Amino acid sequence: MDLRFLVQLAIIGLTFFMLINASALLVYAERKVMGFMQQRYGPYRVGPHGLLQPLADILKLLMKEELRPKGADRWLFTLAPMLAITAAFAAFATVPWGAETTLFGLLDQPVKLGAADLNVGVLVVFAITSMGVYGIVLAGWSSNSKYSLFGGLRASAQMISYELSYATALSAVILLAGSLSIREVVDGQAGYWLGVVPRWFVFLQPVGFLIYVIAGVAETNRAPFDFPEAEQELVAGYNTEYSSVRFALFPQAEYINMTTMAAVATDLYLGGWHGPFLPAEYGWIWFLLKVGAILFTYIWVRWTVPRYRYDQLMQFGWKWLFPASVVNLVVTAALVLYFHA
Amino acid sequence: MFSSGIDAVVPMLCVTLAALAVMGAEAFRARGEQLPLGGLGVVGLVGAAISAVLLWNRNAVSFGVVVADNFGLFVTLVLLLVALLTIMFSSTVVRRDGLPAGEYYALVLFATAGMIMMATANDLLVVFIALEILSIAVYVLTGIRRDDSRAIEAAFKYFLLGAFSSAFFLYGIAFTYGLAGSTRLDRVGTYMAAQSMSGNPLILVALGLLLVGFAFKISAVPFHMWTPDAYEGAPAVVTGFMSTGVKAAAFAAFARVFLSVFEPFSGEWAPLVWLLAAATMILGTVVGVAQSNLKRMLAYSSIAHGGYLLVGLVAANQVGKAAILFYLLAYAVTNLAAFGVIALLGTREAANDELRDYAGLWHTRPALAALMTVCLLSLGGLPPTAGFIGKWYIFSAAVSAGYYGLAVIGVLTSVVSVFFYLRVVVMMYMTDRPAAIAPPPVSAVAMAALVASIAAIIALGILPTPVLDFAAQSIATIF
Amino acid sequence: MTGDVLAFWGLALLLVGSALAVVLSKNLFHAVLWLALALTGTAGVFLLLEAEFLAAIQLLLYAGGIVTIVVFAIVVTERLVGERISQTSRRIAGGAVVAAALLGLIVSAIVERPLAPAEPSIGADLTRTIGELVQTRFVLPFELLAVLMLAALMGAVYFARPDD
Repeated sequence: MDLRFLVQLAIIGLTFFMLINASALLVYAERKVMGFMQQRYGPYRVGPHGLLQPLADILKLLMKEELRPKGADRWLFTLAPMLAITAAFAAFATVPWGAETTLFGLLDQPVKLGAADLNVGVLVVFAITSMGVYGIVLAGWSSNSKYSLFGGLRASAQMISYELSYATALSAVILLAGSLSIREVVDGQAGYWLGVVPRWFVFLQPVGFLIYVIAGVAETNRAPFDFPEAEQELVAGYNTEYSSVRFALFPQAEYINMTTMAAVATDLYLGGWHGPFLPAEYGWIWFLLKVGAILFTYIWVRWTVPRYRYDQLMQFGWKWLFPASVVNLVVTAALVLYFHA
Repeated sequence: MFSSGIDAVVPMLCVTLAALAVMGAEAFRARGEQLPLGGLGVVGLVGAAISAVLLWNRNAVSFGVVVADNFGLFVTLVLLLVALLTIMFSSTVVRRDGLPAGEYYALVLFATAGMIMMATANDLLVVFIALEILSIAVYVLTGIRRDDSRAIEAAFKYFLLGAFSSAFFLYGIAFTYGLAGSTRLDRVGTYMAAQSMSGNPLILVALGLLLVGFAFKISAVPFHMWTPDAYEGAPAVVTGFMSTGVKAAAFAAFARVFLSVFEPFSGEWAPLVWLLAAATMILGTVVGVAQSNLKRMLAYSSIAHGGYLLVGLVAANQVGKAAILFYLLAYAVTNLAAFGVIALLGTREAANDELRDYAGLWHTRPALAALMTVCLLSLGGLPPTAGFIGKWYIFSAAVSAGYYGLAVIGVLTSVVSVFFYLRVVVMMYMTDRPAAIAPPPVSAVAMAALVASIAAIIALGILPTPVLDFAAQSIATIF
Repeated sequence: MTGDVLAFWGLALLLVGSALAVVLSKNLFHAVLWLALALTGTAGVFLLLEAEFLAAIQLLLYAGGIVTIVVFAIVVTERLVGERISQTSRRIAGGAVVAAALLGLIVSAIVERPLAPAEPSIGADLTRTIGELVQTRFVLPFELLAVLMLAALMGAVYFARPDD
């Protein structure tokens, strides 16, 4: 069999493996960062500096009994977490994470670092993240519990509301790059202005980047927009009735979604794997660093900003974020037209 | 005069801009402030009418999908007249019933814009979108009295069946596109002309689906089920608007698609339309006789009138061509005026649209009773009214095309229909009025609209020739 | 059999099955989920036809947007009504006969005269071509859709807003 094909398969496998690890790492990072922000150590006992804590968590969850409430919709109750995790993995499929490489001359033709490369990659990421809400809504509906139902309802309302701003903000980047392929968008950001400032779209789209990040936080149901699970009001929201592995899949999907969000932000706004000092072969290190920085910000925000009220969330989304993203898009379109013509 | 690219859409653009202006004005209206929103609409309609007249004989084409030929412009002018009269009747009704003025006028104008687009569209895709614009606006107008459960039920029924019929229509468009490789009517027409001998069954499938879609919109039997409920549940002035405007627009597109594009297949569709026409005339009339509610009665009557229009379509010869457009105009003015009277007689509390509410109207409101009488005579097809001339030409077209059966059915149903129209007249003149009901005052604008339409009905009935010539010229542009 | 053909029949089976389930499922919520599956299957068909853009849009708008709103509507109304709403499809037999007749008609027509598999003349980049067509040949229908949406939006808001 073709060596290049095998390498491509290996890259897909590696992407999958990294995503799983990303979620484990994020659990650890979240608890550790939270600990430091609250002036304590966080997990410390399992392994050095508590590094093996995620493993212990997984083991614990695996040992638990799987419960299903009476009156729950049997099929949908089982299907919901699977859908959530499938959508989370699938969304990353078209996100590239490194430049083309021949693996130090091993291959005669370069391979692309990333699971798949589509010429409408941005749209596919949108499309699949928008399917992610099904997992949550189904979980909420099928549990036959008030708390779950409200969590599911809030999730769908919130995701519909913020998806618009999110997509509109990204459209401006697509306009700048003139392509729907994420790889082409990233390559449009290579090089420097005046020899020092990297040509990242974040500098051309500061408002768009801000909107993207805010809407991204809402899309992934993270604090301060974590209404679907708002524990003070809804116990645990849509996953109240879940336990054991089925329960574990939800937070895992959430962490993977966060990673996807951060990776897309890196690719579209922060120049992806382009950066100084490192040769292109090692661009993926830059990519990982940037993703890490965004993820850290996510966690940082979560433990700093208190939760909004639900009506504030809707008001903010429709009356501020969405109009801002539309204005941003129109201005960008006008400027692109002006400078290209 | 205009930049050449968008000429053909200017009338539609005027109406759309008026609708946007109404929406904008409503959005910035202070609470309790009264704005002349209807006046804004009138400005847009008059502008559209002027541009339509200026476009006459120019055959402007815009974007390749809209063609302002004389046929389309004639129907456009009819539609603008319908919208103008509707707005004039509405001023009283909107204030009396506490309807939301901004939404109401904006929707009437949006619907009108859709209708104009439908009449001038040269692309099935545009026909479909225009159909949806006017339908959606009219669904909402049907239920504009949202505290009235009957209106809501009517709107809902209309919406469901309308969506259903749209699906048929869209499916027909899909098949047509699959066959011809284009949705542009001229290209489809070229394809059909080339295929006329092939007997391709798929063409018939496409044709049938499109036929069903149109039949729903012009409420031809057996696709009329929504009509009586929707017409009865909607406010009378809206009923007048949709029974004339929607029907005229749908009929214009129907005629354009079937008489020009599918003309090579008239041997296949003419018998089907024959059946539709016969069933529509018979059912509309027979069921109409049994009604005791005036709005419902006129709903069935307008179904029957759709049947007469279909007769004109089947008998599309030299006489029939002009007759279709003339009938469209005559019917539009007459029906609108009749529903206008009904609307003006209602109060906020009671619609006063039962037959018995008209008892002795002559004694309390002689003017309205007289005007209503003219409308009813015209609907029944008695001279010297526009309705008489319209029916005369339709039936003579049928006879000269050899459709004796249709002509006989048409004349017989007309005679029967005169019975139920005259019943109202008898009620108004020869019965004593129950004391309780005092009809409300009528505004000058609405009265002016009524008088103008009655004058038009009689003028068309006495001097039809100029308009007939006009109609003949216009329809000559499509086939 | 090539992979394309296999994939087509698999998708066809999925589409027909899920479409039937939409109509026949008693549970309204399940029906909507089947609908989502059917729409996703349609995206698969587009993908088979190498129309990635359409496939992504299909997923994004229909499965991701519209069905989510329908799900939302059902969940909310169930709350209001306080009971599970079930789908009451009456006269299934009659409907089946009509549908089967229509199907037979269309299938026999297509079998007799297969539609010419005309390859539309589009450039290498389908997405770019669609974008250009929407801004040129189809610009009027495109703008008309804006009017349609505006009218529909106004109507929906009118029915939904509370009395003032």
